[in-house]
Amino acid sequence: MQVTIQYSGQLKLAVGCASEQLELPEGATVDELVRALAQRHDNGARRFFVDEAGNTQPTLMLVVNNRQVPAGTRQTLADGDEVMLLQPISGG
Amino acid sequence: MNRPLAPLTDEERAIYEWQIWVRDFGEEGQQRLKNASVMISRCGGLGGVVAYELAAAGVGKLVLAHGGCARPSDLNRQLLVTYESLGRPRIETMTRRLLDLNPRLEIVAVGENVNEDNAARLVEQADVVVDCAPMFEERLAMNRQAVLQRKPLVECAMFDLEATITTVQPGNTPCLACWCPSVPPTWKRQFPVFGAVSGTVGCLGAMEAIKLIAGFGQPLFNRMLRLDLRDMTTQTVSLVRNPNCAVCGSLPRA
Repeated sequence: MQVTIQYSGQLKLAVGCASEQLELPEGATVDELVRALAQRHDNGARRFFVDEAGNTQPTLMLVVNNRQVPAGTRQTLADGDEVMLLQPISGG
Repeated sequence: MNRPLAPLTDEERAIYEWQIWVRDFGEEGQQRLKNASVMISRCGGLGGVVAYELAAAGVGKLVLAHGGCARPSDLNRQLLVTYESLGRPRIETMTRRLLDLNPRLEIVAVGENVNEDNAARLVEQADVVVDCAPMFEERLAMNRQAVLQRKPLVECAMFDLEATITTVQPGNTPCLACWCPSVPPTWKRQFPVFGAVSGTVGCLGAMEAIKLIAGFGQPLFNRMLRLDLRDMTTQTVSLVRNPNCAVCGSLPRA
């Protein structure tokens, strides 16, 4: 199946694009998606996706089809899903 | 905010005439603003515009927290800072500029940023809190106190040409820690931004505070509005409370 990834903020700059497509096995979860992205962007952007243990960064907000997926939720993806990855931003 | 409301003076009716005409707001809404207090964490590019709009709208009391002295790099976005004030405490020029606009305004000016030691005292003085701070340590301290004291909290943020805003109603919506439980390891204190971006989200934050105080419209509860001014797109994300949130997870619905 294919999903569309959209990036925001610092993450967009770190991976060098605003969006991309990714092929995943049927039934893949959001955490598996994040690990796949960490592997794809291993040259500098990895720490945006996963912590040192390889788990999804707790501050990475995952949004599937405009709905946030709370951390620790085992949500499976479907073909055509749009997944936005939001890095928290601040004021100043 | 159920205390008796001090009435408007004739001068106030004249000043706020155009917004008193707003549907569902009216003179009672204006009275609510007059009798309300808003705490703003940092009054820079983002919070300075929140403060200026709330001063213009007739909010009675602002509690402002902002440390440090004005620097040249403030001037592209921090509209309460002036060229003449460079090198001087920011809070002084911020206070003066707000009182120039609205001399009836009561200001509690605190020349320090929010931290674990002062957050409780600052939040206690406010009906609504608006978080505009750049550091996540400040934001998370403010969020903890807002949740503890059950005060609504408007979360405003920006980066480059992007902005996000959501409003926390403790017990009924996710709090900041539900989706940002710790300081993001990749966040940098200094980041690219235009003053027009901070001003845009500052105006939105002020409007959220006005709606919360006056009790009309639909604040951004359980929703995050995301704007990208690079391509002028907006997106509304549905947010979900995290039952395991260390700050609000055990809080019953209000």
